[in-house]
Amino acid sequence: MNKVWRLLAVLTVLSLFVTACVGPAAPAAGGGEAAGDSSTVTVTYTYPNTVFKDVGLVEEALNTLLVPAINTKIKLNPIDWGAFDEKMKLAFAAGEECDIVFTAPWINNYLLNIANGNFIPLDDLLQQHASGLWASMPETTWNAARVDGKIYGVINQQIFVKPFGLSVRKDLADKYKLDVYGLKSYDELEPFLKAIQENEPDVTPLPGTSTWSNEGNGFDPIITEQVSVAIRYDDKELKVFNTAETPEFQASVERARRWYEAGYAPKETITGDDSQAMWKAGKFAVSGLVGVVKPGGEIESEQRFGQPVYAQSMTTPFLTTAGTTATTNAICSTSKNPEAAMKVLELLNTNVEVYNTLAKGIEGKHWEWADKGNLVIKPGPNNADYNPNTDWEFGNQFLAYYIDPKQAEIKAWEATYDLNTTSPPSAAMGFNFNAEPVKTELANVAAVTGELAGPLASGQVDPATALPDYLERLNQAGIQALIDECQRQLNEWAAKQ
Amino acid sequence: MTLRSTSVQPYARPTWFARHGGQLILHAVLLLLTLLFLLPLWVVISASFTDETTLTKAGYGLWPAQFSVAAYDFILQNPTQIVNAYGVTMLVTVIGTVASLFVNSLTAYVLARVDFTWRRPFSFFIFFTMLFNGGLVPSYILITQYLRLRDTLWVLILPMLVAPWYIFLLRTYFSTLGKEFIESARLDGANEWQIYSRIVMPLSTPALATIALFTILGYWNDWWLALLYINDAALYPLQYLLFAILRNAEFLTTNTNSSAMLGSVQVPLQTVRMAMAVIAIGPVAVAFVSLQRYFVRGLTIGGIKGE
Amino acid sequence: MRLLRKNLPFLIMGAPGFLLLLVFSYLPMLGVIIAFKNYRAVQGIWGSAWVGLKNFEFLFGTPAWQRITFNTIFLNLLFIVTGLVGAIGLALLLNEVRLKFATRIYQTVIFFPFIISWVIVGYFSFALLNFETGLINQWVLALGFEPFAWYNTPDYWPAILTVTNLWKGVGYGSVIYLAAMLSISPEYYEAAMLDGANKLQQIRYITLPFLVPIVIITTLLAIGRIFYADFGMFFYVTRDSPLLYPTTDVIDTYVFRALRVNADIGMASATGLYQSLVGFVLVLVSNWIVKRIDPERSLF
Repeated sequence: MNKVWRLLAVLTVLSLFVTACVGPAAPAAGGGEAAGDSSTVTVTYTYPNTVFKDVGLVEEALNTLLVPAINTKIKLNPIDWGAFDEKMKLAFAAGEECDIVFTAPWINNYLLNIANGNFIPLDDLLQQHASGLWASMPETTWNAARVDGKIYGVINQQIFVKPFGLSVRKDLADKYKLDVYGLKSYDELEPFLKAIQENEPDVTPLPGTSTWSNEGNGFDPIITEQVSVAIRYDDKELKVFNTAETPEFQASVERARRWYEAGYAPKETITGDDSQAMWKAGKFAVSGLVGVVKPGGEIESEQRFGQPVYAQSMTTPFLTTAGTTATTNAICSTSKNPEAAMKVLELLNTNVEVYNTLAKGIEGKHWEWADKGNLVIKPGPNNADYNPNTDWEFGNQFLAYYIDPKQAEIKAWEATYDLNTTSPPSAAMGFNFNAEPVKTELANVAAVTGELAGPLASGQVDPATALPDYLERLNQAGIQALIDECQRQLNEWAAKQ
Repeated sequence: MTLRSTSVQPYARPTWFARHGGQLILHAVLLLLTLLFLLPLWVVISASFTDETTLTKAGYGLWPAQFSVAAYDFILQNPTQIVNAYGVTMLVTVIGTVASLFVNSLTAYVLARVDFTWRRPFSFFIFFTMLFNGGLVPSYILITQYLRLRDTLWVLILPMLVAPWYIFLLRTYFSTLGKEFIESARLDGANEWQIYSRIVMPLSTPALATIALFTILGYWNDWWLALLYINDAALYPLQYLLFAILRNAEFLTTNTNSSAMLGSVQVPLQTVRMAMAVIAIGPVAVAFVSLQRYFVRGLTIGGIKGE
Repeated sequence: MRLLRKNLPFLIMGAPGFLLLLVFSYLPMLGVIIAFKNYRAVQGIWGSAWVGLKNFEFLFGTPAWQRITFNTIFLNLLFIVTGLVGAIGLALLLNEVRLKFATRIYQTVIFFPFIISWVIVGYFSFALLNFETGLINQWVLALGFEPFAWYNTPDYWPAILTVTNLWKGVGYGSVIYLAAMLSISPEYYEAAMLDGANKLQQIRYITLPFLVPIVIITTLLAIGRIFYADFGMFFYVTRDSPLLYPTTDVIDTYVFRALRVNADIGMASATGLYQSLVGFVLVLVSNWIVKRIDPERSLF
């Protein structure tokens, strides 16, 4: 008996170490059977998305388009949403190889990656291999992606500006005679909210009482959305200040408190997904006080949630660096084929067929024509096997086929493009803050903001005491150091323009 | 303790309550506790079978206000995926638990033996790892670049194989078993392997069953290792798959950048979360119930005495 | 040399465990040096610049430092004590039940919460506590009272978290102590009963002393981790509601919030090192105290 144990022990140890040294089996090739010769390179595209069943098929279809055009194959590497940020952080930290990656201020952080040296500058590559892509956006837009003068990301065209406003349920707005399109300020909503609260027992007027937004008040947050350091977008002097000290902020939190105490919103904060579930069920009169109101937005909202709405923006939209670089694709510094990667990006941003194959899938399987003349499509028989619904991830969103005939009617993409180009750029457009010298203060200010800003903005605490307390805590955390450093860098940058 | 003098008293037959009263109260208390513990679980099961809109309007209750299996439909729409994940998890759990039990008990045995000269330093060696760890990045680099374990089953098994916490529990248990057995065995000429396999292990069934249960749970529930090291969808373990399904659905629902959905993927998010919880918990009940029979009093000691 | 030969069987038997730990736990520890560096992936671990204690500054430079340290230690102590009392108490109760089949049911149900992840426990507690649709508030309403906004009031949360922690862990804890109790030879109890001891005396003089070694070990190990908060519980059960931070913000949640903007690997590593060091010192001290009382019972 003991011999058996001994043998088992030895075997266990041996097998553990043997397998450890042998390493994993070679990863299965993901399809891509398009013809190519020995000079065909393969470019990997790593991006966050559900790993759909038909990713392999879509990859093949893409390669049949790519190989004849640029003699390059693509390997799709989608990573689940919950894992992407963590995986990319570790992959970069470990120096792993990649070609094209998706990056944004809110996931796989664009600026942090640049600071860590994970991306390569794209200026020359753009000129040499992506003339169509380069020409598709004005130079001022491209400037948003510049850090220290160099462009590091290929901006995906979509709505850049944030015309913040609200969406109101059509039936309730009609019933209580609220002229949504005529609204000029939030205060004008009050009679409507009061009426809803008094007469509609099943409906809560608002999901939350926060009316605060940086862009809505003409502020450009130049460090990050989560920190209250900003400039006024039209301020040529580029004066940096703390938005929490402005009269606009004070007015906003006081209004929020008034509405909270009047009971226009639930007492406890409702998270995004719960709030949407409740909106779908018809629990609220207004879907959100600070939402992006874009051309065709009403149609999209109704299609997603089943509630017809009137949507109106009450702010002057302007272009910010963060808004413009909201969705970007970059090329890794560990890439062995940057030129090929750039060529692929060129096609994704200029070629309707290539883009839509990646964004929507294969015709006849995942989608079918509803109206070919107007480029409107509808779901195909195998739609569930490949349905990313993330047009903004892959390239120029204005190339996408329309999903609803009404969108085609109002020419949603042209309208959005116009909105982008006619909106004034912020005075700090193209400036990217380097947080290295003030890392400590930034961490502490972020922690304080995370703790106190939310309840203030949503009226859950009394601003008479909470606002001074918030400002005091921000000062203790070192916000003045942040502001000073920001001003210094901004002045330096402005001098170079 | 001294003997008390026992005077003869008239024998009055105790009432049924007097005999069983203690047990009755005991059961009452435990039953109440059990119900309280069951309450949240019950609410979640009920919610998972409720229609999404009704749940939002009417709230969480003990019974579904409107019955619906939409949540389960959503999760199980790709059944091959789930079955595959079950397979992966079971394989990892079985291999992992057997190997882990073996390695942990061996190590604990060595640390429990008084004759082992370097007992204390080695105990410290093991304990130190519970307090300090190098951080995520060094572990990641080690596992992916030097050991090259990415996308293998082993990466799901090996990091959790040795568990200092269980080693110490077992060590304590072995120490209290009684030195006489070991002494007499040594006098009989047994070597360490024989003592381990013939004496210590059979005597320790309650402790081993306990550790086995915890280990099974550890492997069954893990999704972190998969998140970091598994890219190949064919190797997704169950918990990670559920996590991924949920996060993907959450993202699609809340993403403000999303345009209107092609093919209206209506995700009943709240109920899906509940259903996910139910699916994740379910099968472990089997493991638990079957291991229960080792928690029976007096099994082991009585057996030894007979020898 | 003779020492080596005498200990050889032990070394061989312990080899798998020791070697695995060496590879998976000790090798990465070399990376702890990141805490003192300004880590840049392109430069690698060795190439990155040395910054001394700078990465620790953000932890101590914040006025919130006192609050998060207090919360972490206080709440963890609360959990250790209540957990111990609850688990042993439960094990004692279960041990007395004579109907075996009933014991199985009780144990199964009470153990269940342990296997549920904190994310899901967060959904449970939300289902119970939330203002609009929560079960508790519905009952309160039905009884004619005003519903209560639990997620907005910090004062009750140490109690709520303790109850949640108990709910999740007491089954697990009781299994450990029950296993120990089961190995106590019935002879002791028989002898005690002959001597006229009642139930409580039996527990006090037989059962509890038998548990002392295990209690010491589990408590020492828990003390070692006293500076680590269970992030899952503090983040998901409280739904990261800022209004609750005064009583529920702990080191781990604070750092998570602070580094969300920054993602600085050096600073994250510094936090981990700080937590480990404090726990380590505390365990050394506790272990030394235990050694003074009874050397056999100490951890090492």
